[in-house]
Amino acid sequence: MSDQIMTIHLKIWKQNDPGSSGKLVDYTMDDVNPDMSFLEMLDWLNERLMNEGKEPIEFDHDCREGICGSCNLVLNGMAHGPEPGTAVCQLHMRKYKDGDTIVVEPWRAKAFPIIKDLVVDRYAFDRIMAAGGYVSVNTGAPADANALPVNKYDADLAFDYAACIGCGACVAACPNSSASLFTGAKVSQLAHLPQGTPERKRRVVKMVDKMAEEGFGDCSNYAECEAVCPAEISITAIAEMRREYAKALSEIV
Amino acid sequence: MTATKNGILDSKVPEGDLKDKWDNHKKNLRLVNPANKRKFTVLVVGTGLAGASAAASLAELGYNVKVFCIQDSARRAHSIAAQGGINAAKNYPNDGDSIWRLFHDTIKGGDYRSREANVYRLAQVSNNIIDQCVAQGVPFAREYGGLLDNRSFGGAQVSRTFYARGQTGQQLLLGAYSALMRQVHTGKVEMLARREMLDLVKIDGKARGIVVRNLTTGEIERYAGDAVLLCTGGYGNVYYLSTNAKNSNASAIWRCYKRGAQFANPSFTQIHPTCIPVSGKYQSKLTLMSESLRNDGRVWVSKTKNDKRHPTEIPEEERDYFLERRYPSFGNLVPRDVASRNAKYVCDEGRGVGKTGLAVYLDFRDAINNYGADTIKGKYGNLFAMYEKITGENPYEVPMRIFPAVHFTMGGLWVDYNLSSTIPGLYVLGEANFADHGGNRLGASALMQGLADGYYVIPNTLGDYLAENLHAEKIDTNHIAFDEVEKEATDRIHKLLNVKGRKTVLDFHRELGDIMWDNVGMSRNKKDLQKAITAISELREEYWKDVNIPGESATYNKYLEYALRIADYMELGELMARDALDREESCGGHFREEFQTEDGEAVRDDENFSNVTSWEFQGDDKEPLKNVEPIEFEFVTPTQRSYK
Amino acid sequence: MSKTATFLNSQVGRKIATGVTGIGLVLFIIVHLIGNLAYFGGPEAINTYSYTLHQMGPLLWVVRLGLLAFFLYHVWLGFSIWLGRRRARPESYEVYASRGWPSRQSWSSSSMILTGVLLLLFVITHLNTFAFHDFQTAVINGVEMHDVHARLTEVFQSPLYTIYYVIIMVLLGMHLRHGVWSAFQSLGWMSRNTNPIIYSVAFVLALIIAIGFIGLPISIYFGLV
Repeated sequence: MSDQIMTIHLKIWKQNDPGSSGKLVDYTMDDVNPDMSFLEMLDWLNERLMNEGKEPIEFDHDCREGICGSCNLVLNGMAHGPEPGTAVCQLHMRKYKDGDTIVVEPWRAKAFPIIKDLVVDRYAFDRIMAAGGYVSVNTGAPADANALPVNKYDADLAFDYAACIGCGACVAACPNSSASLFTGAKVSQLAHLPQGTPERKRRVVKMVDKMAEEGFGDCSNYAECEAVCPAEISITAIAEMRREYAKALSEIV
Repeated sequence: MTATKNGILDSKVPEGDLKDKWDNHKKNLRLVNPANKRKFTVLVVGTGLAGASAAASLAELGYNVKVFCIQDSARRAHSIAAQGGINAAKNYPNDGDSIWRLFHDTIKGGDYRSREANVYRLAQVSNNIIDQCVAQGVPFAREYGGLLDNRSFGGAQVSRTFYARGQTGQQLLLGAYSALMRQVHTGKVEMLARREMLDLVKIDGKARGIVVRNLTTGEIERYAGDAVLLCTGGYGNVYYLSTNAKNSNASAIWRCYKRGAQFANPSFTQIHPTCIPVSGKYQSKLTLMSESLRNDGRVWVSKTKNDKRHPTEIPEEERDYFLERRYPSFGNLVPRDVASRNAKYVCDEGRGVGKTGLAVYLDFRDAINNYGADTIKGKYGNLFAMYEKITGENPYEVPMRIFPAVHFTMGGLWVDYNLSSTIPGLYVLGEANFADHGGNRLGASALMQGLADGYYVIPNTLGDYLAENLHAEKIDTNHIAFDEVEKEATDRIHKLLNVKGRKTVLDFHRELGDIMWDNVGMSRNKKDLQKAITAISELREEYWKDVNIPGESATYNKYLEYALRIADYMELGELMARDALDREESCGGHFREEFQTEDGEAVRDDENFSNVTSWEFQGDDKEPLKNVEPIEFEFVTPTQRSYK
Repeated sequence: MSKTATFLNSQVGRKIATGVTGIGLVLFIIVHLIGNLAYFGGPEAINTYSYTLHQMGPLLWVVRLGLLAFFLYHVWLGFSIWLGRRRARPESYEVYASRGWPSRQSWSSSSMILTGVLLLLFVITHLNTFAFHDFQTAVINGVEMHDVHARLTEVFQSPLYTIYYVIIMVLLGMHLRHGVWSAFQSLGWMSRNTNPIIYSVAFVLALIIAIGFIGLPISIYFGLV
């Protein structure tokens, strides 16, 4: 808890619609409380702008506790800002110093077109999921949950991958705009569970192909995705996805 | 057809013994044959646990489904934020659990204000839910033997909660979401993201379509269907600060209320005691921490008012461990509502801590001294880390500050046993309906209810309605009813945009939140509730004269979305106050100061209020009509609780 | 499309192919390095080594053509992945920065295309300097053979060429620093525990190769051998 009020200079990306070109606009906030979250500072800025009769800044957000994956800001070139394992909604201003300048940009990737200002369209992720990110089981009366034991090591590993919040920071931070970590996390989660086994070959092929079709780039193993991932998902997911893919294509008919 | 006769609602609970009701009912429900299922279109609004599971299950059956969500992806619905777990009566630990016991705990936890038949059905299908989720690949916590792990949760003496670390809601939602995406792939589901329902279209008294705003373009769109499912969650954001997501809203259910769906028990809200407190005026939402913290933390404030000393400088004898003092046998482990209310009382006395004075200490000093910091870290490490991330304080050294926050709303649109609202063809699932939790929801039961409604109840009950309407006229979106509803919706948007006043939507929301929190919060009384009704109505009037909404309608415009939601929240807030005023008893999350024992215990009035209060809209300038559904107990006997 | 074509056109297949060709080239480089070190054994050692290689006849050509194919495919994949970057992000960031570890963005990984291109140009000049150059003849144990030793000694008398060579070898080290680790990751030979180990091993390997190659010209130029 700190009572010191800070001044923060912001350069925020403003863009009217997907078609138009955007630019950075300067704003200065001279009443930033260190206990504010970054998004609360933007709320505060928007209040001021609206009171001055100006247009507020559009940005995506929802749960504000780091789990829904809505927020998507690149701060000074880093997806979700400087704190490891933290979505930007959980980043607090006490991590900055009085007088700092912060450049705020949206995720940038062909597959994530900008809707307005800092808001982007991430439907491409849904389409990758629709291509195979599931176990094909209808609602009904499946076998008893304990009829299928899963060793704890695999269950824990599957969870680590399943923790993905689908925010897209991996794509945003990747110099190539690759979606490999997102896709790899789902492929690897299901590859570690017996439930995922029957479809595992088909799944990895469909999802990997879909990822390329959506316009995401190749992976060059920069591992920047792991560094910015709020769920701290390891790039081992990508290694596993490649293993799965190679195995699948060598065996699939 | 109508559910209400002479002010009494018919819940359509089937006859027979409690444990046979659901099976018998399913036997009697009409079916739609596969060829005919293809002829029906179902509109599902919301993609949380209830919405995603319902949409996927209905599409698997062969219905055409259109799904709407306000976020950019179905996976972002607020079910994702649920931490603790999901209950089921599996009795894997062999500790004496059963469907009956889960049913009984839920009824008792709800302070005897929910329907026996519904709750029993919920307990029955709870086991199928776990099976279904495991089959989908939900990574529940497991033991070394490879079998599922369980833990215990508040309000139960057995371990029946299945969990996936602290992210159970996320994993269950992703399971339902993946089932939904599979149906999107087959083409049976059309996914319409970034769409907000503005209103319901009724034709011949039945729900036949919705009008939505495309949040990307601002265009108004029309969708026709044979039934509408509302799975839009709760309305905790009426309090401004809550643990709900920022975009969670009540507009869909409220618009349907204004079209004739009755609203049941709106005043039943749950307040969670262990949230991270407000740090300043800019605060936009509250974050919950598991209440398991109260197992080892001691709650206290200073004995003196406005004590500005650092907590570690306040000596033992000047500390007031008020829960231990007032409730010697339960101490810090009193139920959620008791803990919450007492925190409020000490803050009202001016003994609250922190900058805002709206917090109490939750101190781990003694636990760390007794068991060592490592043990405490092993138990609560992730919670302590989360606390430090948000507050910047180290709870191993400085006591945590906590404060209660609105967390869940038990009230919602009234539904019968089939989940049908009082408008035929309009079904309400999950937190949006009022059904299963009565006056108070137990931990780990919200996820269970959302999935029960979506996976197991609606796929059966909706067919019965559709079978009856097999030969109903197919409706086109050019129907005049769509014209009328769309015009009302656009008029409303333009009216709001044209106010061009001086105060922002946030200003109004905050004021509404203050009124609600102070008067319709965890402790209520007649005078305050009457005051709230007047204050909200004044605020509403001011809103339509002085709100300032930037931008235009035909673009992406988050503040316009927000403004429309707040307009609805103001009306809903007033109904909540009215309902709280009407319910002259203390029960579950609803505590009326006039109805308590000398020790401050809630006093229920089973003679006069063993019922559901269901409000029927009569017009903007008229008071709503009160209907009731009597709650009768055939199989359990209501008891009073005590925690002294 | 055949399965092989599908595989080679996929993002995963391209990356695996980059890794496989890369590993092939690294193995060649290691053999080459061992050959170079023969210089320290005197004219007889290195000239005999070179002569023995040439005696392999058609097999040598198979290896050479294979190597060329690997090399060209590796280069083509590198360019193609690099060119895809702009397509995947038509509008770049105004400000871009790495978050730091566990990110492997570094002077090495960020300059793969640059070091790659420079290595490509080097290989062309290198072949010109050595492989396609007319050698003097040496006679060892009565056998006539190319005097590789003399050529090396002559080339590394030039300060400019020596500096150029050393710089290129530093670049090779940089390229391998990311490349070797990356190949393992691309082939999926990675688990969470081995990941940091392989990353460190790759660094050591790149360092050894670079120092190994630099050792020779420096020693010759300063007359240490």
